[in-house]
This record gives sequence, structure tokens and C-alpha cells, in this order.
Amino acid sequence: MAEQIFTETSRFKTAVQLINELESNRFPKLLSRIAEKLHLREEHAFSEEEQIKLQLALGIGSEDRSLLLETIEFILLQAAYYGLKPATLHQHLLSVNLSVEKSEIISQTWASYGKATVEKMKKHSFTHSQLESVSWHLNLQLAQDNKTQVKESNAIFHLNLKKSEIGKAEKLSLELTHKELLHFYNKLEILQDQLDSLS
Amino acid sequence: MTDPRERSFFIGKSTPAEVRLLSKHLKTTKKEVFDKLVTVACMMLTSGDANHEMFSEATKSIEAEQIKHLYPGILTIVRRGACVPMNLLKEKDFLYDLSEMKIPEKFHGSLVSAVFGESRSSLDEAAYLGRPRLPSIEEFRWRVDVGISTTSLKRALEPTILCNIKTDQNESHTFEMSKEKFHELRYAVAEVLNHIQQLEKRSVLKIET
Repeated sequence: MAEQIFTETSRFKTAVQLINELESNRFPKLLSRIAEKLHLREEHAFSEEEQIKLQLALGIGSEDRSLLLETIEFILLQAAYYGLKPATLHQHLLSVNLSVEKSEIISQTWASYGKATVEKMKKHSFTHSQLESVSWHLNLQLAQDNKTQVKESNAIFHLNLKKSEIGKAEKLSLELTHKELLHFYNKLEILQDQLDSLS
Repeated sequence: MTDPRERSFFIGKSTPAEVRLLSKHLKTTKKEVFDKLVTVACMMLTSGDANHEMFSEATKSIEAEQIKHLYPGILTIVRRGACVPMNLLKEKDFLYDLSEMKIPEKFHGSLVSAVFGESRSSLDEAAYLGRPRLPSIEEFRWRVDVGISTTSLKRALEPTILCNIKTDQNESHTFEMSKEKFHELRYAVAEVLNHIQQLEKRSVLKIET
């Protein structure tokens, strides 16, 4: 173990003590809940109400409750950051004096949720504008005001873009003729080749 | 020649007002003036950004009164004549309709050459290019990036694609796509292409009109 993943600050030590003293029967469920929501940057695992209920159920004060949830979250986030295997995580937790029992439960939770969480985190992006979905419809133009008997096929695409500012979305509307579509497709094929050569 | 009772005039159900106005004033019109106005009409229809200056410049040798009486009718005739595909409107029928609208024979020549002559293809081209449509892709640029690490992950190694689409309306859109979204886009484009190719094979479109 080359790196120290967890530094034993006094706050951290207090948290470890808290964790060790918790009853084990509720612990796995608590962990699963936190692990599930870990990849969501905006949401917390428990709502305000739920946090108060949790406090009462665990028999701890509100400050302790915050510390507890924060620390567990921190442990799992660090596991994600360093890409730790469950066994490695277990070792690290033992080295900062978490009880064997609790360390096991934590690393087991990480074993179940770890991979999926990391994958989701990989997809996070905070770019200005991201493609969210594509919708299209195909038209056959039959006539226009200065031309009758037209038989031109064209396709309309909506590229739905998600913006980094919450609530704003942009719809990019494009119309492509057959020829333009082919041209576009060829460009996408070149892009695909590039992607393939990466893996 | 098709029996005139079996087809309608190329100009529409009845003679438009501007054409009736035109026919009233043709007795006193010189052929050169008429021909010039036909040329102007073709020019205005073919040019992508026809404007008033262009028109004034081209018609400066003609009296305003004459332009008022003659041009609208001429423009309508040329427009409607070029509206129907060439193989659907026969020259003979066109000439018959012109006579029915009381346009004397000496003026037929320039109208026929406008609608059926060499400049017809540029009229068609202009009609095609000027059709109402949504923006198209003028330029598509892309870049593949691989994110090495982020705030949440020391080792991410996730490829993303950064795109820029410039439309023919001069709008520039830059956005990012994940690999999965790119596949969605590529699939959509391929699917549409497939549908178009099938559509164009169908007999409805093959019937030569």
C-alpha cells in the first residue's frame, strides 16, 4: 500500500469511532443507499426528513449524524477516485482503525456498487453543451410555391442539447437532403474509425 | 395538342388580373420593350438576392407607367410557366393558353424561350435553392478527446467527442457527445438513409411524369 488514502484527522478519528459503535444490523442498508446515490453530484442520499428519521433510528445527535454520513460518503468517493479493489479498500480501512466487521461491510458494499458507480462517474461532463438525444422525421416534398411535381426526399433532425445551465436545453434543427445525409454519414464513419482505433 | 377541355390553363383556373392588365396594353407596346421585360423577369427569378436596385438598374430605359402595366403580367406568366415540369406542359399548349389570354403572337417568342429555352434550367435551379427549409450543415468538425482524470476519478480514460456544426445560416453550435450518444446519432443517420433509399426505389417515384 504505497499511498495513505485516509488521513487520520481528529474529525476523521471521531467518525471512525462513531462507525465502530453503530449497530451492525442497519449498517449495510445505510451503506447501500449512500453507494447508490454516490455518482449524483446534486442529490444527497437522504432527504432532510429521512436524515432526521435516521438520527432517531440510530440514536445519535444531528451533528454526529452529519459527520457519519459525510465520512461514509468520503470513504466511498475516495475508493472511486483511486479505483480501489474491495480487498484493497478493506486493508486501508483497517489501517485507520475501523473495526474488522465494519470494514468488511463497507468493502462488500463497494464490491457490489463500485464498478457501476465508477462507470457512471466516467460519463460525467460539465461541458457547456451535450448531445442528449436525436429525433428525426423523413419527408417527401411534393411541391412548393414556384414548383409543382417535386419529389425530393429530405430528413429533419432535432439534436437535443443539454446545457450546463440547469433548465436550459437547446434544440438544434437541421434539414438534410439525400446527398447531404450521405456526406454527413461518411464523416461520421471516419469518426467511428477513429474511435475504433482507440480501443 | 391536348384537348383544351381536358386540361386547365397553365396559369390557373382563370386569367389573373395582372395578365388581363397586360393584354390590354399590348397594342401600344413595342416588341423590344416586351422582350426586355421578359429578360428582366428571368433575371429577377434566377437571382438569389433580387432587390429593388437591381430591378431599377435593369429597367431604367423603360417608362415607369409601362413597367407598371406590363411587368406584373409578364412575371406571372414566366413564373407559372416554369412552375410545372417541362415534360408536363407542352409548348403548343403554352402557346394556345397565351392566345386564350389575348397575348398577340408577336410576343410569344421571348416567353417561349424563357419557359422552354436555355435559361429554364437556371429558373429551376433557383426555385430549388430558394425553397423554404431548415438550416443545413455547412461544416461539421469534430475532435476525439480522452479524459485522463477528473475531480472524481484519478484514472478515468473515457473518450468523448467534441463537435462543431456550422449551419448555412451562419450559426455555429459546439457540443460534446459521449460514445453512446455518438452511436445513437450514427444509427439514426444510417436508418434515415436506409429509409430514403427504400423510398426512392418505390414505383410511385419511378413513374416518369
